[in-house]
Order: sequence, then structure tokens, then C-alpha cells
Amino acid sequence: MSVAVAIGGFMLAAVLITSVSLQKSFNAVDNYFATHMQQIRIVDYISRDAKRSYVVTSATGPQSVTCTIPNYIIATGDKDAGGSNQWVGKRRTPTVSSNANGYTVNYGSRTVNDAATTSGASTLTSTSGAFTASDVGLSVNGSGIPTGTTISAYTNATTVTLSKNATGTGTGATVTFGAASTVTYTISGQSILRTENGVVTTIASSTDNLLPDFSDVQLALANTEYLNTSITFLPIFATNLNSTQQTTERTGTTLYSTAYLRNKRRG
Amino acid sequence: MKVQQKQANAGSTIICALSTILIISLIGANVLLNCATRYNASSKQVKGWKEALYAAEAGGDIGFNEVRKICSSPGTAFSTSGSGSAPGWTPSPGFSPVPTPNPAGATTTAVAYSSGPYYLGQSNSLQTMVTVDKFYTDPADAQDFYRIRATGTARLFGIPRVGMDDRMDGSTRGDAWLRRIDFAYNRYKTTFGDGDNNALDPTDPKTVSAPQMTRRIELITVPITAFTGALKATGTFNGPGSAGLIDSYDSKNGAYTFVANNPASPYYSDSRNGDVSVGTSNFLEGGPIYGNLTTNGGTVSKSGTSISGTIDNNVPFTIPPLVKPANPSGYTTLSSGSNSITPVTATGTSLVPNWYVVSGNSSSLTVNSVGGADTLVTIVVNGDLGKITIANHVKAKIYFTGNMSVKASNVVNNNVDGTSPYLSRAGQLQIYGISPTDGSTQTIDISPPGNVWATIYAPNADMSLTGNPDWFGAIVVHNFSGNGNTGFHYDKEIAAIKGIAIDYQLASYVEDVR
Repeated sequence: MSVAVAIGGFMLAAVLITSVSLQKSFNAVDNYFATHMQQIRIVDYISRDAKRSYVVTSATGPQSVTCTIPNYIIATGDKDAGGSNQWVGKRRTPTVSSNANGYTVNYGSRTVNDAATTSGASTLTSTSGAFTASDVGLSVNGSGIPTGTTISAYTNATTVTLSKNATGTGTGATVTFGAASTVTYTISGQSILRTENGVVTTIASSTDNLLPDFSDVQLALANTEYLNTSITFLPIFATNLNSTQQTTERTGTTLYSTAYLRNKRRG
Repeated sequence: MKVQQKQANAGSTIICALSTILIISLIGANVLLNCATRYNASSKQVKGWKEALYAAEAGGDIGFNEVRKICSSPGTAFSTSGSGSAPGWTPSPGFSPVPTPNPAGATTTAVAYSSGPYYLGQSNSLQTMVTVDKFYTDPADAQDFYRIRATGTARLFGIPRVGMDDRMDGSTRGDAWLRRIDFAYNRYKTTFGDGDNNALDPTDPKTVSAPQMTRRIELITVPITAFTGALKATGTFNGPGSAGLIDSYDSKNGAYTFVANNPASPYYSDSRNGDVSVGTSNFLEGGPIYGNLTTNGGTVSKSGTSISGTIDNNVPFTIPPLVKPANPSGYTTLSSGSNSITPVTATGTSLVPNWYVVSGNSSSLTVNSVGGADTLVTIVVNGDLGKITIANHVKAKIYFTGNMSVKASNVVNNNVDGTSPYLSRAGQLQIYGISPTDGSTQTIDISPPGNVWATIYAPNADMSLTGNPDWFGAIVVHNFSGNGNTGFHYDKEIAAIKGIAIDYQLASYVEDVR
């Protein structure tokens, strides 16, 4: 009787251990797959936004990506929304401007080809700017203009103050004002956030140390740019490994992506 | 008497075993269910989402190809004939007119076409619809801009189920927010109509026959214009004359003066843009070139040459042939020989110029202005082109199908550089050599004496400057040669004038991500 109970207990313990191990293994598989799905989702989000951008800027420490995207859909408050907002939600018809370098297409924005800036200064002048007081708050994109810059103050029809100092000195620059969406990807704890014009969406959230790595490469002569993205995570079954083994495990999860801007790069 | 309890023990074992199997099975089933759902999302849904974009971009390519035909084969652009895999184009139907709203200044016409569906992909699981409309015509230079909207749809294979978003917080949806699936209804049609406040085709159902994913893109095409550089030769280049030179000036500052060797001149910076582009390796330099040089496989270097700018021997380029423009209704036919034109009804505009067709060779062509006002004319010469005289304030575009052999002094352009609104004297006389359809070579021979102020675009012509003429303006030809004292002076204002559209290119890409 005692022997039978002992054997039975031993078998039950073995079954229990097996069950727990299987559950942990199944959970690891489930978790791995789930995180992999989030890798794909991040890449798909970023590729979609990079393709339709005017400018993409990546930064390290902390990792982030900022995309400047044409404002295709008319929103409430836009100047072309109509008196009774009858055009809200509709697709915007672009405008075209030209200079000796070719044509520029804008959605709800306008472009000047005679902008003058001085590195380290926040003043922008443009003879053809036709600025008004209502231009304050418009986004500004162009060569020598930091990403995320807006018009902070109106001086006169040819001069405005920028919210950030220019990074380049020059005249005759092509600069676009207004109506561009800014989409930023950032890391917050274990989550990847997508922020479009202040609206935050969590596009991925994992306990697996999901870690994106962004780098934008500008091809100045070709007037284009591409964004490299690689995303890794540390599977939960690898958390007990030493740092070298963890690095190996993380490397094995790498997902790469390269997205080219479809539009001519601005700035 | 012994009491036996073995049967009770055996039952417990079976229950324990079955319970264990059940628990493990439940765990396994849950994992398999999750894995199946995630596999479905990662393989089928991601595939469908990407393929929907491929289909949309294929539609964009179809539309773009049709827009390019406007220049290369205008008679076949937006042909309504078609069937099967090439369904042809349909003019804008009444229930879906040209997209609106339009910004102030846009001159949208009622020109809109749609085509599709085109089926492609595995088992024709992808389809695309495309519309093209001329959303803007620049009144200043009559350039047309086209908008291409394409919708790509991919049938969704696999399990008709959304992905798992259990890692998201309560207010956000991961995959479903990004890769939207039409399970039963076309979400674009049901939510946004045609996207432009227009009623939908009442016969077009909003339901879908099978789960699908849809993506929509919009492309904007802009014209590639004839004059995008100073002097382009797709074949060989031999010039300028050994006693001549190539340089540049800006006519907004008035008439040309040579300052390329005078850094103190305020116009010095405008004098060194006499760029030469050669489409082959065949380059021979006579006199100095104040500008950049590109060849396609040449061995040109600074050593032994007088080229002021950069030299790049690895720049291939092509220039499309020029087809004869379609005559508008109401044009005037002129006989061959000598003609003197004075438009009597209107000065014309860039959009609607006075249009003349010379039935044969033109020995002499004189164009007068209407009462001294700016007068715009387009003349198509069905033969050789001879003497040309245009009065001040006349802006003429002259096409010819034959050859041109004339003394420089017989190409008379009486406009004045730096005079508003047309700053460029050369830009007022635009000469276009229509590419021979039989593959023969067109010839343009300019002999002394005199000088020429004009732009010329003749992509299949061999151009020869002999003696001492100077050409002011811009030149695009096949082969170019200049000897003696001949020279070329590029007017930088030509870059703003641009010339006619010779092709189209994509200038904007957006996706409707709603």
C-alpha cells in the first residue's frame, strides 16, 4: 500500500511538473508569437507613415521617429473646412506651386521659394510670404528648419518668428507653411506610442522588452530619404539566461524594415 | 474474509489521468487557438493588407501610364475601348463628378475618367480601380496637372476573424486599428461615400461578397517641361566654335553681356550656368564652357579643357520624342510658302492661343501683334521651316515636321529682354521640331550672319551652327555641332518659362488611412 501510494504520488508529481512545464512552454510560445505580432504592427505603422511623409527624422536617447505628413483630410478648424464645416472629413484638393527647381504639391499648405534664415536665429523672412497674424501656429518645414517648428509670432507680411532657431543660413530656400500632420513614435515604459497631432495611440505594449531602433538616411542628391527600422525583444523564456545568452536570444528576434519616402524630401 | 477495494482505487486513477489530460488539453487548445489566430493575422491579414497597397499602387501605375500618353500618344490616351483585363476608360459619370472641394484658384474642368476593376494577383484575388482627373490648369503657361486616385482591394483568406489585441490597453485596438477588415460592408463606401461628398453609384453595392482589405492612395502628376537645362544633346556634342563660348545670363537684368570672366560684375553669378548635358560619351569641346558638363560614359576631365564647372561622366538621360499636337477646333489653315499673320479676333491666351496650321513648307512666317498687345500664337508647319519674324509682344510656339535651314539673321525676334511680363526675349519664340515618324533624322542648320534669340526643342534633330551666329536661349536636340565663332548663351529665365509638357512625373503621394 505504501509503495503504491509513493509511486502514485511520484507519478502525480511528475504529471504536475510536466503540466506546469508544458504550460510555461505554451505560454512562452504564445508570448513569443504575440510579441512578434507587435513587431510586425510597429513596422507596418511606421512604414505606412514614412512612405507618405515629407520628412522623417529619427533620434536616439530616447529612440523616436518624427514624420511630417501632408494633411490630406480636411478637419474641423481648417481654413478650408467651409462655413458650416461642410467639407470636414473630405479629401483635400492640393495646390501646386513652381520655381526653377520644379513643382511643389501642397495639401492645405503653401510654399515659398524665397525664404531667408540665419543659423541660430528664429527670424524667417520671405518677400512672397504674405504672412498674416492668423499664420501663428502653422507648422514650418524646409531646409534649415528643425522638425516640429511652428510660427510663434507674426511681425509683418514678410517676416515671422519661428518657435525654434534655424539650423542653417541661406536665402532663396523652399519652405512650406501649415497644414502638415506630425506623427511621432516614442517609447514609454514597455509601450510604443504613436502620437499624431497630440492624439496618443498605444500601438504596442509588451513585457518582453520590445526595443525598436530607428535610423533615417538622407540621400541629398536624390532628394529622398529612407528609414531603417529594426525591432528586437527578449523572449520570456530567456530572462534567466546570462547577459551574453540574452543578447544572442534578442538578436535572433530581430525584424528589419526599410521604408522609402514616396514624396520628395523637404527640409 | 478479506475486503477488496481495488476497483475504487482504479477509478480514482482513471479520473486523475483524465483530469490531467483534460487540463493539459485545455491549455494546449488555448495555445493552439491563440497561435492559429495569430498565425491568421500574421500571415493572411498582414499579407492582405500589404497586397491591398500593391494593388492600389498598380492602379496608380495604370493611371500614371495613361497620363503619360497625353504627351507620347495623345490619340490613345484615356481610350474608352477595352475589354477583359484592360477595361478601358469611362468619362466621369454623373453620380461621381470631379472631386471637390477645390482650393481658390483651381480651374478644375469636367475632365475625369475612371477605369477598372483590374484583377491581378494569385487567383485574381486582388483588384484595383483608378480614377484620373485634371484638377488644375495653370493659366500662366497652360500646364495641366492630373490627380490619380487608386483603390486596391485584397481578398482576405484564412479565418474571418480580427487579430488578437490583448496586449493593448482598454481604449486602443492594435491590429484592427491599423489593418481594417471589411467583413460584410465596404467601410469606405459606408462611412465616407466617395470621400468627396458625392453620391455613390446607386447600383454599386456597399456589401462585400467575401472579407477583404482596402487601401486608397492619391498621386499627383506634374508635367516635365521641355526646357530643364541650358543645352542638351542626346547624341553627340561638338562645340562651341573654337573661337566661341558657352555661358549664361539672366534676361531679367536686361540684354546679354559677357561677364563670365569678371567676378566684380553683379551678374557674374548668372554667367556660369551654361550647362551642357550629353547623352552619350561623344563630347568634343571647341571654345570654353562656363558651366557644368555631364556625359554618359565620357572621359572628359578638367585637364585639357576649359570647363568652369563640375564634370560628371556618369549621367545617362533620355528625352522623349515630340509628337505633333492635336489641332483645337477653330484653327486657321494657311497655305505653304510665305505667310504674314495678324490675329484679328483676339490676342489669345496661354490656355487658348491663336492657332494656325501651315499646310506645307514655310518659306517665311511673320507674326504681328494685335494692336501692340501681348499676342499668343501657336503655328504648326507641316513641312520645312524657313524665315521667322515675330513682332514685339508676340509669344509664338512654332512646330515643324520637316527641316530648318536658315540664316540666323532670318530668325527675327523683336521682343526685348527684361520687359515685363515676359522677361525673356528668347522665351517668346519657342521652336519645336516634331520627331519624324519614319525614323529619319531632322536637320536644323543655322548659318551666318546674325544671331538668334529663341528656344528650340527638337529631340530627333541634328543641329548645326556654322560661321559666327550666337544662339541666346535654350537648346534640346539630338546631335549638336558648332564651329568657327559660334556660341551659345543660356537665358536662366527659361527655367521659369519651362516650355511645353513633354512627359509627366509623380510629384506627390498620399494614402487615405482612415
